[in-house]
Amino acid sequence: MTKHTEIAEKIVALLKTLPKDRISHYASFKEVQLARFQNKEHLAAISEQDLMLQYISLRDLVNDKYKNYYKLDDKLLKPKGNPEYYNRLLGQLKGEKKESFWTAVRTVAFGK
Amino acid sequence: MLSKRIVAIRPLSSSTAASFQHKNQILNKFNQPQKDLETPLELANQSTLPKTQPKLLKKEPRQPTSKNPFLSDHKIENDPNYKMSGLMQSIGQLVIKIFSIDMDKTRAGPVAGSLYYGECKKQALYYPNEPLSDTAKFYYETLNLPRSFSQWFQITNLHYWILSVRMRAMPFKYGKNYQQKLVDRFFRDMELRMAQELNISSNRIIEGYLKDYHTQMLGSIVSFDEGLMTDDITLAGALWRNVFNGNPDVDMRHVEALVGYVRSQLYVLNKMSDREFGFGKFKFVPPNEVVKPLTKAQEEELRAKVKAEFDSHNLPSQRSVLSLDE
Repeated sequence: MTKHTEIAEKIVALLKTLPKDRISHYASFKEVQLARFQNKEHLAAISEQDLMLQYISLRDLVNDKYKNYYKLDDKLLKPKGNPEYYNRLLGQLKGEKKESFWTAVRTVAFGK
Repeated sequence: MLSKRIVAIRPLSSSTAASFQHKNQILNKFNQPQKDLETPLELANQSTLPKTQPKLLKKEPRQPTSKNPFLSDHKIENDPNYKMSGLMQSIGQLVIKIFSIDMDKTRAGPVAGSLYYGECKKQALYYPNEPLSDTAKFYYETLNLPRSFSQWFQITNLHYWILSVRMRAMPFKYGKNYQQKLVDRFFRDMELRMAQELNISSNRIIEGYLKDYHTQMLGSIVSFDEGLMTDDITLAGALWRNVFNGNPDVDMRHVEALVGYVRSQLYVLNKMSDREFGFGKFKFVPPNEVVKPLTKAQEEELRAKVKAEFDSHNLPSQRSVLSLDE
């Protein structure tokens, strides 16, 4: 196995660990990139050095390099203007909570 | 060595690597001191992948044929050296004092609707046959994004979202007002640019485009918010769909550079007090600079400097209830 193929396999293995999108978008990052890095003709056009950089970038993103380096406080993550904003949003995205008619009316009327 | 192994198994886990390392005191001694980051520009320039753009459109995007004033042709916005006369200033201060005007509410217009909108707008603004600004070069040359009005919208929208994350953390009535002023100005300016710079003569078509852009904005904000709260790869996916137009051949180095850029801006905003932000002290850090996290001592020094600066603000127009501590 060449180094080139080895890196490509590492990228594919990394991409396979990504969770599915919580809501369906017009394109899935995981699916599109998996197809790209599994396409042998396409991979042949990428130099080993560039492929390595693609892997390093993906690995850093998966390892939350920037989230951990630029740590945010509760000041932004639980904003005092609307402390439940992100909880409600994530709850809905994960399908845990669903906005009822009355909570929707409240959000429209009061903005939170 | 051990810390490297911990990082390597991270993709299989759904929790963050940092929390594991921090909880485990014994393992902390194996942690290597963190290397300084490269600037987003340096990072994006490292890769030499062939630059490709997805073929999304049947015809070339419409380009501006004329140039509007940056914000407006009004002297207050157009002239950076404009200063109100002494008499007008005194009358203004008196009116504010007599009617006890809430200056934090009033300030939202000039700060969010003008200053901050200008900050967002200029990042990716371009005109054909004019040299690109340094930030525009980063988007159109380094990241190789297509030069189009929609691309400009997406980049401006990303900067709008970065600011709106900070605005949410202000007291509700002020934060909402700042967000409203910023977004109103954004759409008003797009309407003017489409009519006057892109020469779209039909109001019906402009209105249709504005509705489309509004829908795109709502969708992208949900995605960016999800990325902010979850992890870097989710944020990267949101940026890939919205800023990189879902390009299948995107350079991951470019996506990483933009994720780092966004997180660094949010970090700066996180360290800024409501008062500083409300007074328009924030400027986006350019992509050719790197943000280094502050130490406790640096943070305290910065806070003391800010307090000293705002202590001298005694005019009625400089009144504010916004916090200086958070």
